[in-house]
Amino acid sequence: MNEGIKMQISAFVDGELPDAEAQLLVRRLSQDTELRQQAAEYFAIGRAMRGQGSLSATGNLRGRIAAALDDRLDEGELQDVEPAVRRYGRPVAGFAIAATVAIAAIFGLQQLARDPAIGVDPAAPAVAEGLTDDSYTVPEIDYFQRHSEFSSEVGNNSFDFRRVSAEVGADAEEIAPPGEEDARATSGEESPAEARTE
Amino acid sequence: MKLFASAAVLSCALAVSSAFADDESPGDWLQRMAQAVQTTNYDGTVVRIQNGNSEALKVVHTVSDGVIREKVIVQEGSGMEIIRNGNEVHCILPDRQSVLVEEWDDQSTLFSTLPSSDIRFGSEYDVSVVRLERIAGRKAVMLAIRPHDNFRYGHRLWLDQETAFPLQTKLMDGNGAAIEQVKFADIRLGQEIGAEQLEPSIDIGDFRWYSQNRDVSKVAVETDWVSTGLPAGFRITRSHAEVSDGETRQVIHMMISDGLANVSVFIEPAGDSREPHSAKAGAANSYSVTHGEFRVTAVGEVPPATAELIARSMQPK
Repeated sequence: MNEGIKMQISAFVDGELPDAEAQLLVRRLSQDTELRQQAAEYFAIGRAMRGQGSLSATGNLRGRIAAALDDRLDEGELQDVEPAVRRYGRPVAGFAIAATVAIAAIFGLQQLARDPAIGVDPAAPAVAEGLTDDSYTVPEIDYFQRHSEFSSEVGNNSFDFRRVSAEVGADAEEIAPPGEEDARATSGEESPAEARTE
Repeated sequence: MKLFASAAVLSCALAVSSAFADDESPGDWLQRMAQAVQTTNYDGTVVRIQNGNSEALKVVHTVSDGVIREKVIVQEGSGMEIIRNGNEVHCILPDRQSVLVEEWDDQSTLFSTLPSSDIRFGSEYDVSVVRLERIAGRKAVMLAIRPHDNFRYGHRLWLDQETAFPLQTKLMDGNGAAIEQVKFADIRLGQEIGAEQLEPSIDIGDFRWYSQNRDVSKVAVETDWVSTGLPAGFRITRSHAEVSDGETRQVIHMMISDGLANVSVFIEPAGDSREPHSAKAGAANSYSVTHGEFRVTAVGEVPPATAELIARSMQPK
């Protein structure tokens, strides 16, 4: 099957082939048994690819990073951090994934948190080797984040969205809940952070 | 037989679509969409399908005096909730009994980068109004953004016929397969959203609160790096140096774009990692390769081959 026919069939399946072209394609398929067979195989391949989940073998990366963060939390690092007045950081993460903004915004919020699909292309031989290298994988995720943030900042006409990692990373600081801060201010009570600085 | 039945349906759909396609150009629809997402209140259920997995979210979104207020509740798994009030974002993590506080600045909110003008699409894409369909119980106009080659992805947008609000989107690969699909299962548009609808749905009184800061300083630099063979339509649009908090290592960050798809290129000292390496997160792909003493990583919402081609094309002057 040549590329032209492939594209035609693809557009036809999507319902996007112009009327006249669709009629011609249907006529051709009805008269050409071999082409029908090829088209059926083409669809089957497409379905298999869609249903397969391209990264099923690579989901461990995200898990390993999350586990590393968990370990740090378990070691009590966060508890050693002085409670501070509320301080806001930059967005933890953002990915510019094609989708319209409003909808993508919604999904972007959770994809990184739930999607194990941060990993490597199984077809690339170097990937498996890369996965064994913990020192390498973390910067890679950082690059995905920086890419999305910068795409959005420069207004580069993409369908950008942002998302949060929804993970309490090792660099997180524990802060006072908003209500407690307000209550302390009203009563004149010092915050733990203020008390330590005196 | 399905194919033939589809053809008949398609013919009818196209006949219907011709009635409205002449009224508004694809650019008009995109501009209306941009306006709609900046001003429309909505609440509903969204389904996202990716890699054969689907997940649902409940969403409440309102805009008042330019300030976005939003609540998103994940319907499965951890039950995470995101509460946004202007720039301030609270990520409620029930399974961790924690609230993570973040900030989204206005300049880079979701509503600042919409494909709404002609210059956004160069000669590498065709944009067309395809047909009228029904999504979430509403009439929707389907737009197709089709690339001319396999170096970039295509897009399908279903915009509410009345308001141009996006009801469904698909990101398409070169084989016509949907890489990612996002769709409202139900939606209410333009209704008043009460303050109580934006409150957390669970008691977070005993939760611990965290702020996660991650500052990256940006410095304008003249870089010696150029590309010797970008795919057609792509060009370098920005470059600067970045230094993360607590680090001295400087990373060159270049942005390469064809007007719709964006690819970041990061250049840093190679260190010990010298093997080519590819990765994927959602629809974004990356490829890293070593050029001399430097590691070059291309990251973007483009096919893996494009990320690799761009990474390999970078060379010092």
